[in-house]
Amino acid sequence: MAEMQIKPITMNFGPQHPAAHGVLRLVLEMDGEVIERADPHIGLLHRGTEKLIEHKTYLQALPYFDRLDYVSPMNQEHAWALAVEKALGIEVPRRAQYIRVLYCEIGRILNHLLNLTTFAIDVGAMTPLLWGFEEREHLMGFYERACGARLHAAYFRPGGVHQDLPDDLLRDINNWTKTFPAFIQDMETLLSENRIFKQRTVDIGVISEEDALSLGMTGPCLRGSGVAWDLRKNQPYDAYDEMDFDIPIGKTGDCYARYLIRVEEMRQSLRIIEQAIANMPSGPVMAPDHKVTPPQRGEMKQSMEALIHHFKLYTEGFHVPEGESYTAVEAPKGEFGVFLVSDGTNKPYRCKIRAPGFYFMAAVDHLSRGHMLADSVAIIGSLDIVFGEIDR
Amino acid sequence: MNENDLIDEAGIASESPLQIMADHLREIGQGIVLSSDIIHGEIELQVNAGTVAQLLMLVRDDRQAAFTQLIDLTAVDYPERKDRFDVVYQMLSMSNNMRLRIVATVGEGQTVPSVTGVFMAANWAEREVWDMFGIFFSGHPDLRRLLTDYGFEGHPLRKDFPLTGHVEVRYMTRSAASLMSRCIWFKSFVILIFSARGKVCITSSVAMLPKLIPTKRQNRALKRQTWQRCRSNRLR
Repeated sequence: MAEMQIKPITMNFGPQHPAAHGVLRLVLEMDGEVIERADPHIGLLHRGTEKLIEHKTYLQALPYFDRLDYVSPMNQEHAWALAVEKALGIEVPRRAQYIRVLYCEIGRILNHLLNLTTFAIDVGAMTPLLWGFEEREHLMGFYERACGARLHAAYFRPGGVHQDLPDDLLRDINNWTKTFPAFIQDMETLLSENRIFKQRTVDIGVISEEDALSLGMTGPCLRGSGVAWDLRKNQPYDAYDEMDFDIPIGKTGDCYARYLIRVEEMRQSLRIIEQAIANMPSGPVMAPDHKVTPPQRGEMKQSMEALIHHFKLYTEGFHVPEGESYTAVEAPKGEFGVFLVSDGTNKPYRCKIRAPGFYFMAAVDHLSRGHMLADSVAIIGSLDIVFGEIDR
Repeated sequence: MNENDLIDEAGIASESPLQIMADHLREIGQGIVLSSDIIHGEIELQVNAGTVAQLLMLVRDDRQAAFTQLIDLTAVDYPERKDRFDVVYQMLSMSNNMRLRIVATVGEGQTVPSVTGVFMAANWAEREVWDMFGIFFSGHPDLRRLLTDYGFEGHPLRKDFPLTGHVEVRYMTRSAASLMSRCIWFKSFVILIFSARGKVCITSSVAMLPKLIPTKRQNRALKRQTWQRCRSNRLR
């Protein structure tokens, strides 16, 4: 029988595929079962956030940040609030800083729970997802009790946080931190030494340190390759410099290293949450500058000036001095940055959102070349991809 | 004296690490760097668009500077300027814990050399800038649109691109198909602009596109058509 030459075939992965983590269309050029080239087509969730923000006041722009990475909304808001505060040059009260740190770490656990468990389901383990989402429910309950919404919080505002925490909330969060380590332990017994899980992740999608830097990797994906870099430690913002926590670093740069780092980061986040609750200062949660922050409701009944401030703030908004600045936070996925160009009016002239996932997605081609088709699913899972922030 | 300089007890100005780095960058980028500045704890360098790739390689490979990561690449549109775009490169040096911004000014139709050869991260970032602003990067391996739809026209983040876009997609229940048509604004879309001095002026995007506003009669006809369509659907 004559030899047959099998041509490389082009395969469409997505746009609706459970392992694509959203709306990703991945065009794969395959040589049999081996990927020769991966071409991700993104933008199916593009909403023009940056353009919309140019047409909104600084306060109206804030809720768009919840809708970027909808898995950890408050971490995104944090970047925007810090960017505006930097441009305005206002100080945030210490209690607000602590609340922000507390909720950012809750956001980090929310994100890692979703990522680790969906990653597990991608490579064939279903139970962690069922268990993990129960824990996420508790955390979203805490979100709801602080700001009234489970996902789209709009809680961090330039100048502080919108409202003070209700009574008993800190006690309940503290009680939860006592039960959560048992969950991490249970999840680890299911995955960390699981033979199938390790076969699917160890030595898959290895990124060298050099490549990780060149590809613009940040967060757990960069630390997985052995680079000790975390903005919470290196460029501390808000109250992070008062917290005692460790940064886990990987050695191998593969999918398994990234998994292990996220598990350890959840434990460290728990430490930060405990410290934030134990040392929570009392006092106001909003800066007293009522050109930027709303006045108290009670004050508005008495004071004409408070009423004027309220009206001006929610119609015209505040003016931000002319200038450019880049502000970044360590979001659960990596460095989330806001490049803000203000022209002295009440609306941003340009707001560029630096989403960590965008650069992870760009690296998929580099990472999945030479791997099997099934490995591309593990790679996408381990990179922690959410399309809200990639497509913006 | 620069505000970033520290003054020690003797009253002699000693330079901050940022200032030292800015001076060093000016030195290694001699003939390339046009000006340098320090804003909000970040160094900003102005360069000619043609020399960007060269400078990025210099600041990456220099031992002392070691700006090893291209964090972000974007553009800003200033339509009233002669060279309307600023292409902005955000760099990070981990060993110095410093951020650097490189700004290159380019005119419409002018090309910028691609930096994909220096940083792999630039690949998609440049594609996005091409998509959103229409700035062409020469030497890019694969400069396709990235975020917008297949067959999209225009560059949405340019200031002269309307917020609503030029086309809208509607679903026609009768023919069970989606239809793309030019945008029609039924209500005038009013934008309030508060200038820096507190003056208020009202502009509407409709004023810029007078042909697109339906007249009262057209509006009534449209309403009637929609009503009839609804009724016939119900009858079926």
